[in-house]
Amino acid sequence: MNRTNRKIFAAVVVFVLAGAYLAYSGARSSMAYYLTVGELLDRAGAMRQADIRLSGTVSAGTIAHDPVAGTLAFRVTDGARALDVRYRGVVPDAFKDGAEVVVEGRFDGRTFTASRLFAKCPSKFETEDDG
Amino acid sequence: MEIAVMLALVGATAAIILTPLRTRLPEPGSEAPAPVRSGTDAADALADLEFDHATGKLDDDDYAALRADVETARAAEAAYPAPAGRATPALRTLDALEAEILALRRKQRFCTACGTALPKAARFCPDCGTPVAARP
Amino acid sequence: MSPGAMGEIGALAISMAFAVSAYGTIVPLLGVRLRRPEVVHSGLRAVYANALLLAVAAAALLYALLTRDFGNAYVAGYSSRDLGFWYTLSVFWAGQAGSLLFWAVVLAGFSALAVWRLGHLRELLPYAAATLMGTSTFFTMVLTFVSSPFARLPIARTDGAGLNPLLQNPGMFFHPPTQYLGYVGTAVPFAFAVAALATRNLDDRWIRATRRWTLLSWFFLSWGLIFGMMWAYVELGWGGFWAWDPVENAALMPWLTATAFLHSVMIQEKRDLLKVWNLVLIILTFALAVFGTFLTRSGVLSSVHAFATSSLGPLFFAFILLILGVSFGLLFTRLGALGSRGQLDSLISRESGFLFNNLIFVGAAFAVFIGTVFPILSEAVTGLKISVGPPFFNQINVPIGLALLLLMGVCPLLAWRKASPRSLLRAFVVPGALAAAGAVLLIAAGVRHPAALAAFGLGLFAAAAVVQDVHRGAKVRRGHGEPYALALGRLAGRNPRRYGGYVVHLGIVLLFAGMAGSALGTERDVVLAKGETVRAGRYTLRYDGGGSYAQGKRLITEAALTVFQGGRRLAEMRPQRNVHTRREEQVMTEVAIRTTLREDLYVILSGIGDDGRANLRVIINPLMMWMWIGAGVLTLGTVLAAWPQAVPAAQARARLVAEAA
Repeated sequence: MNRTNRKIFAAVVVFVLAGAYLAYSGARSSMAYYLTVGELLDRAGAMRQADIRLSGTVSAGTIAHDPVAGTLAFRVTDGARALDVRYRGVVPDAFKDGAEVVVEGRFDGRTFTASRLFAKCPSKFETEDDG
Repeated sequence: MEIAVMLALVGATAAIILTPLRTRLPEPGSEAPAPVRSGTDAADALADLEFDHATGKLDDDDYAALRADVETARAAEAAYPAPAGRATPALRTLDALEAEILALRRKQRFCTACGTALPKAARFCPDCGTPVAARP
Repeated sequence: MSPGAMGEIGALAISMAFAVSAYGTIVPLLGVRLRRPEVVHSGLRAVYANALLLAVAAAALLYALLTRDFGNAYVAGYSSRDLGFWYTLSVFWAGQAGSLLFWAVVLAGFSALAVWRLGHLRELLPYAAATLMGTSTFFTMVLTFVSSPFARLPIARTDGAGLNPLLQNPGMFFHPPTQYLGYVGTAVPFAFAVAALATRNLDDRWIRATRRWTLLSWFFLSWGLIFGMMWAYVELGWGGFWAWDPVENAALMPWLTATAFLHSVMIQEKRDLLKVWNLVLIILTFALAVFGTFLTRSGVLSSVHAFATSSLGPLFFAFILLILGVSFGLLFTRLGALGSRGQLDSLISRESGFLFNNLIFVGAAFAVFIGTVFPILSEAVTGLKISVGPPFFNQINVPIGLALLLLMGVCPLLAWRKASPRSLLRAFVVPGALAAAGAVLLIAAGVRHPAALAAFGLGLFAAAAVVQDVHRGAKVRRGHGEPYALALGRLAGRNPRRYGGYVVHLGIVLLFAGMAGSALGTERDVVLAKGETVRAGRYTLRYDGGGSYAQGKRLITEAALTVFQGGRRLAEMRPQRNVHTRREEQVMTEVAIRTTLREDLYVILSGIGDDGRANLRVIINPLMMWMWIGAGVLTLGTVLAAWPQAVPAAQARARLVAEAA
């Protein structure tokens, strides 16, 4: 490998290492388990300190939303089991009975305290386009 | 009405696709393959160099050195004109010639007996052991 | 004609298109093998027939939509009687079956155009056509057997289910078709790359011929992303424009590799380097484009267990594997013929600048890809899905963005082959000084955010370097006796690709400036009673009361706000939170935005209580407008880059002779 190619190779290695470090630290600070309701309930004990992204659908009739106070409570289900969620913040438009949701936060065994909430329209037979 | 449209559709499609098959054309065989075009040719490279020099990206000595490189390659191209066709033996000779020229510019030395590239301060060829001359 | 009849014609057209596409995949290759040109011609004709058939199918679907044929399952599922003309049109690409038909139609049109215009590439054409028709075979197969837009309901409905209100917005009108034009556009350079590999015609002929196609598809990919960001900003109403959502990432990845490809082909054309790399890039770009289509249509990653429930998932997955398998297989067997005649002379040269550019873009694409499929990977390893959030993507991509800004500034200052360090440093002086001065001014003005400062500084550097290079070039021409304005014009005319590229870079600088600005914004939640005010940035907002009223099929809840600045009344803003009283009780937030060049004032109404108090989120987004201005500049630059090159007559004649051979 001649001198120029060696320099290029060295630069590439530095670049890749820097990128890997950035990726690693970025992953560390934002990694969270991505679970369904059932999976979380099965592991509730072990996951008390963990950051969790929980996915499921909104149980019909369980939404309690106070827009002025900014609080939201509902039950999320995977079809078989359900658990309570509490959230403060802006509620996305797609959020309603039956909507698919992903909540980020922590679970203390009884209530899931969500710091972020994402919702998708309830899917029909064909997945709806939303983006 | 609907049937008519469908038939028209089928008919048009068949016509579009099948009409070429009625005439038999001569086999392709021996068309001269198109000339290989890879990388800029010497004239473009010189124009680039001049422009880079004029806009202040190249010092005078760098410009002179690179220009000499290109002119050598251009002379080689003229002596062995690029033949029409893909990488033929003649083109490989041109590659080899260019490699030799570039190597010479970098003061790379070769063993006179077996042709191996010699390390910078070698006094004997590492391959065949022939002593290296003082200056090529 | 009865509505059902048109639908049947459409269904027939699609099935025929499937057969014709299959014909167009096999017959050109057969003709080459049998050495019978008329057979090849017949196969190429299939490309035109395919386009005709799919045009008929598209017309049939449009007819069904505009005549409100609610016996058609797709029309009934996504449109309704009260849907306006333009949004009814947009239903074409709103659902799965229709958007697949859209893809197939665009592919058919592009294929026909490519076969027509690139007919002079006689050796490559059969293979390129076969590749394009192979792709078309896949999509028409899915349309015929799995997801047809012409399926009928057992009993026609009286009215359709209507279009999701979130999609009834200009951004969402333009975003899907633009995105698809970008995705499909990558098929043409890909097809010719495969043809080059198959015929061992491995010089840069295929690259030169498809250069405009690459630029065009890159342009549409860029605008697909921009429209998506516009839509997210205005419609989704959370104050931001990008969330590193899997679907967003799916659109970003092919853009990243396409941008890398756009740049690195210039090195192959100049110095005959990176030939294998370029082929890998275009293969990846096309595969990622199909992957992006698949991701948006099958919800694989956004919904945890959707893969199994969607029938499309395994089919697309198999198709992508086929694409990768065939292309990389061909590449591997042709590696011997892909040696370079040139080599990299120096670390400090324009070539190595382009090389670093490529590394950065591909690195970004790789990082985004890993982040996006992380849950699937982690499940394979640990049994549980682990996902990463925006911090992961930002940590990687913000430094990458900064590095790109730096490169955009340095590259114009570099010479080809080998740059003289002394000249380079001298060229740095003015742009560097400007950048430093700008950074100092910003710090003095109170900006402390390090990444934003770096972005502004490097952006200034990049812009100044570009302007400096253009100016120097014009000076050289003026030295030959041309007036300055004419010199600029001739400069651009002789090398539109380079100067168009410079303008695009300026657009990107503005885009990054807008993004950096939004990092400097503020956000606060507040509950106001009537008459109360809140301070946000340099503005004061007064809540003048609000309430609900019915309008058509919507229940509108609105808050009236007056905006003041330093006592002076500026504007009224009326954020809304509406409910569409359809069967599905869809909530629609209409944010209120007041845009100036300096910043956006962005207000979200979360709700109004029974006591009349309003819960509001007030956001200040500095420099948002510059993102859209940057998008416009990018467009101008792309137009310039695509402009035909003005060459002196003798040179033009010589080139024509060479190309025609």
